[in-house]
Amino acid sequence: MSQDPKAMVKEAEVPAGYETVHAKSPVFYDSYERKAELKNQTHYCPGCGHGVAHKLIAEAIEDLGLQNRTIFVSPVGCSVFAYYYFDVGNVQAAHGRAPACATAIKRTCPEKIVISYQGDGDLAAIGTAEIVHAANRGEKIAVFFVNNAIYGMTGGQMAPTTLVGQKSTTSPWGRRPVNEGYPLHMAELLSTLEAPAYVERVALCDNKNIMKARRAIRRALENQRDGVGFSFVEILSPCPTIWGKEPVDARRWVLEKLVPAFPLNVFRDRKLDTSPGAMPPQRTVTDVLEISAKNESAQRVAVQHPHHFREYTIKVAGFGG
Amino acid sequence: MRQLCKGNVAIVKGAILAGCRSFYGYPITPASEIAEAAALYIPQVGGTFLQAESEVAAINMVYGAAAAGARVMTASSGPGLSLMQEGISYIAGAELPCVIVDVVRGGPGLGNIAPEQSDYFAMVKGGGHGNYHNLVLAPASVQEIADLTTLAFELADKYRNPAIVLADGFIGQMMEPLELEYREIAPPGKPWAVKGTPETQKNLISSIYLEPDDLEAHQRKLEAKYKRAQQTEPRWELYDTDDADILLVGYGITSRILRSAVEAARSQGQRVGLFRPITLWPFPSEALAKAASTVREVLVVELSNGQMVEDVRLALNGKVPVEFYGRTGGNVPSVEEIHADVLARMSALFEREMLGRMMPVQ
Repeated sequence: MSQDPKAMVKEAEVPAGYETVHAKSPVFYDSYERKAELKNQTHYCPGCGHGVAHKLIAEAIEDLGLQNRTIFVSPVGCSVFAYYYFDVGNVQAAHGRAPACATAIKRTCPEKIVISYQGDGDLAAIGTAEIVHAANRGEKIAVFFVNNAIYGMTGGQMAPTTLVGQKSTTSPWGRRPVNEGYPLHMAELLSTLEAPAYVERVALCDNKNIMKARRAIRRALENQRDGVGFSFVEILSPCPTIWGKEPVDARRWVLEKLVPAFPLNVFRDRKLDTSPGAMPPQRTVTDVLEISAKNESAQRVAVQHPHHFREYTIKVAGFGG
Repeated sequence: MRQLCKGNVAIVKGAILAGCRSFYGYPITPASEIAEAAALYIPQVGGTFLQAESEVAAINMVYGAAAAGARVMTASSGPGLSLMQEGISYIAGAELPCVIVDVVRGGPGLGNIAPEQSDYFAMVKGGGHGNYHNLVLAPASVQEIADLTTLAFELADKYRNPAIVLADGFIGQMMEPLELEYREIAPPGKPWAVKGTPETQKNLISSIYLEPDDLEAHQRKLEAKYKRAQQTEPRWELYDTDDADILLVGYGITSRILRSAVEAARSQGQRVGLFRPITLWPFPSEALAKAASTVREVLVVELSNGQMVEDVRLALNGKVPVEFYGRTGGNVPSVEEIHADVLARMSALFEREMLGRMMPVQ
């Protein structure tokens, strides 16, 4: 009998007559302590694609042995609380800014695995600039883009990926291209750039496609492990609650409506041979700051900030344009 | 070794001395030389410089780098700082240390590229959403812009809070002698950071607290931190205040003009002094109240329509009349202009006093 309190909680939560068939990946916390309540289940709706996407990512992290060197950036949207679940380093970012945040995390910790997980409003509307430029710089991060063609967290408003004719609370008569334009194809858009190493679109609509998504997610993380470059996986995902569909019907809707509008494809899979360019010379701080070297060995002096006025003459230099 | 250095370049030198090896920024006049100097120097000492696609991206890169434990900074001017305000609010909420430089230009809107001090409210009063404060330092010389940038990093780490260096187009653009002293910097350990290591795996950097009680507790914690800073961090400078009838109050470049005005007045026997806040948040309210306790009038001078003057009035709480003199649009008051204004106020003061003496007691 286990004395581990976490294990006991887990055991107690399994209702009578049920048994655990699939073990939870150790990349997920045993109990979701950061949640206020229901610490053994996620906050996602039944049938939501986020749960499947989370599981595929967790299993890939586990299988590749990356758990203790992964930093996961949670976005704004339904997956704002992804850090409830992933037992890795967690940073929560502002709406749309996860790629900028992930950029600097990766550049601060180049050896670590940095994941930006974003929804369609986050990545394709408010954060369009950040994702395009992170991709264009070839940041060595993995971006998982969950596209369900709707704003889930805020209650069903139109997304940049909402289909033509699809109703939402802010396109109550259906999306009209004449008013709202067309669905944005992020995988295609990013694959026009030079720098990305890997761009694929997958769909969580049936087991076969979920297995393809599994491979794509794994590939993106392998790329990062191997320092290959920017990897982007767009995941077409069901949102039964906001779509007003039963979970099974929602999956069918992904296959029948989303997939024809957002074709599944590997849009990019290559390693770019890039020259590092002219590297900056490495110099000492004293050299760069033009401080005489004899001071270099001096011990640190308690800073007496010279807040006294000095006898200076002001020279105003010209302004730029 | 003394060197002739531009203010904007001195910022980067002060930052490197403070151990800063990360700069994320976007060009804007009159702050562009900061990004240029960072691009030139920081990679040479093994650091990271990245020109972001916007100030919005830049401040969120600062958020990411700070979350991973880096000593990191960005720099911009008014319009860029407006774009950064959301990110600064997140940084304050997530308690991340970083340094942000605002080389203030004329506003509102596109305004112009000439110096103003019109970002006081935006930087000192918060500017972004929610309950938070920035630590704000106001340099008055090229030497001080370097020194205060170094200090800003120390304060940012001490309080896990954004620290702002609030300069203006003059300080940023002018060249003055600069003397730097090499110091061994031992950046503090940051056990709260998310570094992708087993030890930091449990850490979370976030500003979201969904439960009302949790968010209130978080804000109380921030409030306690701000109180600590208010008790220990105010910095200021006094100049000829002991016997002053009129106390001038000004920060940054304006204080340099005011100091000359004090000298001009003193040379003619007029008793005028100067109070210069160095920290704008926390504002040196107690010190100002003390310095103003024996004066008959306070005159606040700013390159704005009157922003810091509100904090001066709060600090003095009606005990002394507080008057305001401001120039904007890139116009700068001359020493003679200020001296003439002070003279007029002096004679008005004495006239009122004489009248008071002549009035029969009812």
